[in-house]
Amino acid sequence: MTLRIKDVSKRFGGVHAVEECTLGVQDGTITGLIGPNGAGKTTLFNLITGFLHPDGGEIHLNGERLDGLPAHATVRRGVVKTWQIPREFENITVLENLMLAAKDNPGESIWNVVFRPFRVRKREREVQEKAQEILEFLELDHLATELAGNLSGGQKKLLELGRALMTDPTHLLLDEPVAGVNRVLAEKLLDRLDQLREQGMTIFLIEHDMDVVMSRCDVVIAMHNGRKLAEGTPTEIKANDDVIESYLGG
Amino acid sequence: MVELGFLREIVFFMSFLGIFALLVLGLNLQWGYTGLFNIGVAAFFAVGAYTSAILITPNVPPSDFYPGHLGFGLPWAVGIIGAVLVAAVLGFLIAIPTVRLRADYLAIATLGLAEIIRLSLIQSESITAGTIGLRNIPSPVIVPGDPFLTNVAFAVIVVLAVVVLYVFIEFVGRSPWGRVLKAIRDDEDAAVALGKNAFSYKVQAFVLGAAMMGAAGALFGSFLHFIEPLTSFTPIDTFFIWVMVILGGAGNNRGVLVGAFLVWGFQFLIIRTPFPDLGFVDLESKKAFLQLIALGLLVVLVMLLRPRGILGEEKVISRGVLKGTKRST
Ligand SMILES: Nc1ncnc2c1ncn2[C@@H]1O[C@H](COP(=O)(O)OP(=O)(O)OP(=O)(O)O)[C@@H](O)[C@H]1O
Ligand SMILES: [Mg+2]
Repeated sequence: MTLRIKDVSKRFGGVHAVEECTLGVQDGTITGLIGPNGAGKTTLFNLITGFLHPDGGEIHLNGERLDGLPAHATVRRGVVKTWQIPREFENITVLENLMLAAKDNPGESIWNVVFRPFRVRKREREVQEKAQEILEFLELDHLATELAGNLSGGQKKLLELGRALMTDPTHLLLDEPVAGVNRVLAEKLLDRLDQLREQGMTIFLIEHDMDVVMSRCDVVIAMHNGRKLAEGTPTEIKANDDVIESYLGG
Repeated sequence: MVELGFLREIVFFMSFLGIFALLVLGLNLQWGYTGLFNIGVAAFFAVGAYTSAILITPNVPPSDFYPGHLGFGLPWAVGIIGAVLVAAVLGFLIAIPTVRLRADYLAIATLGLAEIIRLSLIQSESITAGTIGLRNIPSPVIVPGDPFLTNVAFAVIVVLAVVVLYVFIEFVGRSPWGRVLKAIRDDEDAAVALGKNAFSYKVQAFVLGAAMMGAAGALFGSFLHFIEPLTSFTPIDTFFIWVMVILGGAGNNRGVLVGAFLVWGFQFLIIRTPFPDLGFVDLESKKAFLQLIALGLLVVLVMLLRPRGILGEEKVISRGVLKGTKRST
């Protein structure tokens, strides 16, 4: 288990969004994170990726502290998240939205652009090829040179996933990745997540659709009022009285 | 002689156009690329102008008729290099505490900075000659006995500077580096979530833009041979640079140059056209205001018809990408 969250709390004014939450994500699993609206799932993702800093508690990745790191630095350690509400770069083309997400692009240093133009160009070609492959897989390749702001809601979700994949993550945190994506493509996407998991990627996934959670997750963690309520296999979680009550009782 | 008069006008027009070009390219890097709301363009312009002027003009001690000013009489090139460096350092110092904050803080900070600098220039009379102005700033190249050719040489230098900077900015702007700037402009958090150190990029863009504005200031001083902080380096100057950028198309280097050409061309025509005295009001004396009103209307018109500016932004911003997409389809 390499991603560990220990006693983490986050308050917004009087709202205890995450409250002494302790949980772990097993390497090489697809772990589902469920819970009613406002349970603190998105906040937890923001804490892991450094967008928010916990008021208390610790977050460890491979034994290294993640909390306290600036958000951009967590990506370099292999942890990347997607946004629940897509945040595309609207005035940039779809293809370039993906390209700029690539990790280790020497051309993103102005020094290299000026003094190592050939290295920059070579890497840029690799990045473009990879971006085009991902676009084809996401069935967005026909929109490659369209501005991302012109995509539909579902297409923007796909773009989110594509960008995250460009960063070569070891830990992929997906905030409702298939909400609003059509069923056929959603299934295809989830198949792809299975493949990525086979290749050793760890996927931590927020999802409201119980069918998806049941059929795709190895482990499910249920949150309620900022705390971990239960953890187990999908079948166990489905039968858990606390979990059922948390949804019914609000 | 008519011929020479016309040539003189062209040289004058081009010299100023070049100075505006440097300013809009600098602001475009900050605002058009990176979304940095700098409304203190005049600050960096002024700092560049005074740094260079003091470095290259000989010292003048105070006298009964002139407050005097500091001066080192160094070679011209030292002046512009100094202007670029000092403007860059000032840009760095103002960027560090402000670009982390929301856009409006940067706006307030830069606006305040510009006025503080202008007022300091007015107050530091023993260094800058205050409102009397710092005079006899030398030209880069002096053709002895021929002021016209001296001005031609200046125009050539300015145009060359613009060409070199334009090529440079286009080169880095179409690189992955420039792409990250535009990503930060569109959605900073999303860029950070993909591992980009937005703070560092914003500082880089701000400093680079400020340096270009500093260079423009140095050229401005040696063109007029005279600078003073009462009517120059005002918020109105910043406003004009913004109009050029917005009108031509923020985010597009060619666009902002077109904007500079149109706005400065428009101003130039108004300056050169005699306005009638209507008896109850002498329009000639109200030119400056009429010009502002007309420009304001022009901006509103262009924004209604072409919200992204006359040229707008190009869709594909990375070098070589279009070739690549054609190959694969
Ligand atoms: N930036 C913020 N400022 C103030 N309150 C916040 C902020 N972010 C989240 N909250 C509050 O924290 C609580 C948890 O929100 P969070 O977004 O983590 O829930 P969630 O489990 O992702 O819900 P959903 O399923 O609806 O996406 C909510 O009560 C929310 O109002
Ligand atoms: Mg959420």
